[in-house]
Amino acid sequence: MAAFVEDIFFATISELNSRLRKREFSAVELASAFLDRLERLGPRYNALALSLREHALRQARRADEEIRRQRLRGALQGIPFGAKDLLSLAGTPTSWGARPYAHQVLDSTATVLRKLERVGALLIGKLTMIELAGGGGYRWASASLHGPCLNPWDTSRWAGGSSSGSGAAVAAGLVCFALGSETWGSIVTPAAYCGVTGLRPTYGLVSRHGAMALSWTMDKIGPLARSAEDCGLVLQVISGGDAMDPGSAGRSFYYAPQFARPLKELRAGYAAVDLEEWAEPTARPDFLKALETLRSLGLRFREVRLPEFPYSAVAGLIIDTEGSAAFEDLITSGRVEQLADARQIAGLKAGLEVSAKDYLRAMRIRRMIQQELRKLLAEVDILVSPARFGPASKISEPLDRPRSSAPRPKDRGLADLGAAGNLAGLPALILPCGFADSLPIAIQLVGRPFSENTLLAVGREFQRVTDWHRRKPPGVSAA
Amino acid sequence: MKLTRRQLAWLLAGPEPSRPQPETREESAEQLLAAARERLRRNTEALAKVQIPTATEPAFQFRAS
Repeated sequence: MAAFVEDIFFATISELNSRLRKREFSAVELASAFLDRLERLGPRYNALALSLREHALRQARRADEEIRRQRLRGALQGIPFGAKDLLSLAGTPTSWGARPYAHQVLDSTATVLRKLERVGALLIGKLTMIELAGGGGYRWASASLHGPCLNPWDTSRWAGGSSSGSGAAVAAGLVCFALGSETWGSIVTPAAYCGVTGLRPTYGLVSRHGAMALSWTMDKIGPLARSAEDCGLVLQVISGGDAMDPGSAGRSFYYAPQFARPLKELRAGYAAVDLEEWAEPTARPDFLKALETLRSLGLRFREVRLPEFPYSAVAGLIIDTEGSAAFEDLITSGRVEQLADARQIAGLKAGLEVSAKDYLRAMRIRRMIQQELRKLLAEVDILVSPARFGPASKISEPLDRPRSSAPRPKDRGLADLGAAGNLAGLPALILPCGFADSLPIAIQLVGRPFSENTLLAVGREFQRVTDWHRRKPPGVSAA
Repeated sequence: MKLTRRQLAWLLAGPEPSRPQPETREESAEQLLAAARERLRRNTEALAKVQIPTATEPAFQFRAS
């Protein structure tokens, strides 16, 4: 068995794959080391839903054999990863983070997991999540079958949700990358809070077949990883049309940042009020520095505003309606009472009462939002804003507690970019950009539909001149 | 002691060391449901203020395969 130094657990996909091909260690040795670490530290953060040791080692033996025979399958061959526990792996429990489904075993494997298996990536564990990906609206970080997911940077803080375990596991070096999902903020938030790079793909680019449905028209699956480049490598594998997903766009993605437009040709939109008033005071200096860094790389900035729409109301109503419809059986059977978060239970019940008229109204406004955002993104190539305005919240505090006693700014700037981007199905890249109160913060880049290569090219350059994405939580190394 | 429906569901679900405890809350299930309905009402109200052109179709699509 090769002796693994700590840095292995924080290496990028390309670094690990290169060492595998040089036979510095085998895929079995690498998977074993990650499995040991995941099983030892995962429970400490409430990040591990299910270890898949036997499955992973079987796959690893196959990867070793193929590497030995020079049957190389790309950068992900032999790389250990984790998946949010809403993705099904045939014959193993898939809990959706919720007590009523704690012993659920599905008989098919999610398309994204099959695609990763095909290129030799090693699924070593299922990772925890907010129950039902937060459908109904939760109030506490403990809204999960596995308890509150603790942030590796400070275990009194939340890892973010709903892809909580995915963020925590990447941050703590328990997996090389992880899959998460986003309906409204579920990749962005854990990536930002845990200081890892996250990619929310364009709606329809990645198949959701085999994933729990919360909102058929808004769910997306994407990677959380060590770098923009790693996100690109994973997206290349998991993207593509799928007849099993009615929302599939039927498009593929090839990671080719070298062919993206030069940064000096790109126009970026931002809102000063985001940085100067919406951002928490301790986060403002590093947000400002991040924009300055992007400017120094050649991006040309101009002030923009989102078109006037009630974004949160539209997104909330659509997700409430679709989520309650998706879980109608759970709600009407009374098993919904087994969920951990009382507000979520109430939200799911109330969502069944939304009228068709109101849902259609929300979907018509959504069409107008898409059209107006298209116009905005004709004027600029990307939008840049804080991914979250401050660092991770405390586990002990309700998530709806106001973060500040200061009055909310009247100018909304790009504060609604999370809701707007998800409603319009736009891709977003989350880049760690500094610290506030010794906790990670991040910016988000949002672009036109299917402009992932542009976002990733900007992210790659940003990460070439910064090292925020390389930082490790204190104490994790010795843990 | 009178148990709420939810507390009863937890008890019937049986012991499990790792499961999270139900939150201690001040509001009853009825109050929480009323609050959820109020939230939906506020959202609906916000949507009603948007002028929608008659020709605007909903933003979902179905593709026959």
